[in-house]
Amino acid sequence: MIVLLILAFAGLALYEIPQLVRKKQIRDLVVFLSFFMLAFVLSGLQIVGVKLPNPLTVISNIVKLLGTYRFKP
Amino acid sequence: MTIEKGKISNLQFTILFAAYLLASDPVLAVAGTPTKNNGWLAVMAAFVTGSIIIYIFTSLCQKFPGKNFVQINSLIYGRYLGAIISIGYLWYFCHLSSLQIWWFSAVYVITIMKNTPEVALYITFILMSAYALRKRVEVLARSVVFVFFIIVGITIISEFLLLKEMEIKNLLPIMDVPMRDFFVATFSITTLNFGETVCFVMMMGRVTNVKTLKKSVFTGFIIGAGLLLMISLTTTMVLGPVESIAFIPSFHMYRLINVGDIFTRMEALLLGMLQAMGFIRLSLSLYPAVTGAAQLFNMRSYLPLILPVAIIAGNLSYLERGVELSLDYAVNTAPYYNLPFEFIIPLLSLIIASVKEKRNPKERKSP
Repeated sequence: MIVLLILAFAGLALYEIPQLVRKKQIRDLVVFLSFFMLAFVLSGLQIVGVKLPNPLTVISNIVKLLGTYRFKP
Repeated sequence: MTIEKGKISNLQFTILFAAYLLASDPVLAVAGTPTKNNGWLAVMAAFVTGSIIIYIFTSLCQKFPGKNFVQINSLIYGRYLGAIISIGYLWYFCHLSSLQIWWFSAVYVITIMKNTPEVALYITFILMSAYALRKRVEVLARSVVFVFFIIVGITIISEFLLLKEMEIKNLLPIMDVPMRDFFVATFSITTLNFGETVCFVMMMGRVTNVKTLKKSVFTGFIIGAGLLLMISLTTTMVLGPVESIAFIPSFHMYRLINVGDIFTRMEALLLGMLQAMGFIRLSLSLYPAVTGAAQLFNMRSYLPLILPVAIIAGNLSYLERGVELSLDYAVNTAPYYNLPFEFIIPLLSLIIASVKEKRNPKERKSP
């Protein structure tokens, strides 16, 4: 699975980076690489099986602090 | 410098708006759960509250013709505070995209593709929308318009096919739920179905005639909300009390279609339609996330960011899977979480922009 992930991201990098380098768009390249690395690290961690917090649970816990009425089905 | 150079016509924008609202149909079933068989009444109430939210952010965008939301934020709040607010919106749009990926994949996993890994469906949705986004806003608008008419066609045909299954007595008793639950459902529908159209703020500056923007938006709103109301009424009349306990009521409704034992088991048609709805919702939610990020970091083009942002949204979807939590999230959490992004910040921005405009009338014309 991790090999597939690396291959997919390598394909994406090989498609985007040469175009940005050729056009000398260094700022675009830096921003692209930042998002690219974030996406890669997140995907990698999930494939390896690292438990990351569920955003919905985090948001729910913050909203619970407001003490609003909660509907129970 | 504006990140998007393409233009879309007012008519296309109207249809995009209507399509985005119509595609929120599966969410309506969850958001309206507290009202049992009075979901259609909650939709009507949310129509009023939703139109206030839409009026506010449309007025804000109309004050800054040709500008997108990230540019508007920096003009109103200054470079740094504007950037912080824009980052908040980037998270909101990215998270909104992740919910679309999760939601429309869950529909398949729960109904017919029970043994399929969710990731396979996530990848399908991501690639489909990323491809459309790479072709830029004009192509995206044209493809959504095409898909919208297919969805409307199928919806109207199925309404006719379901006519003999409809029972008006299923709408009764009216308002047999506590007022508190009714307000919860109205609040939920307002923020989830109607308020999420705030993602159009990144696109409003690209409409050809900004002067008639409000007319285009509200025409789309009436068409989309009208279709949602029609679907809500039909679902209640066909399914009755079952509607409020089913995860995807439309799926059970389409199963009931039987025309002379020839046209039966039409739920596959619904699932095809849901795929199209998923495409509309995801593309239009991902667009502001991608263009917003590119604008914020002053990039020359947003195209390189499409896949990385879509993959980040896909990762968030994978973390969010779990139906029970999402039912609770849609009714008890999402409305409060969405409110600052959909109502409070745009209202504050509109007030500040109006005050600035009164103090210095020339400022707006040459931002």
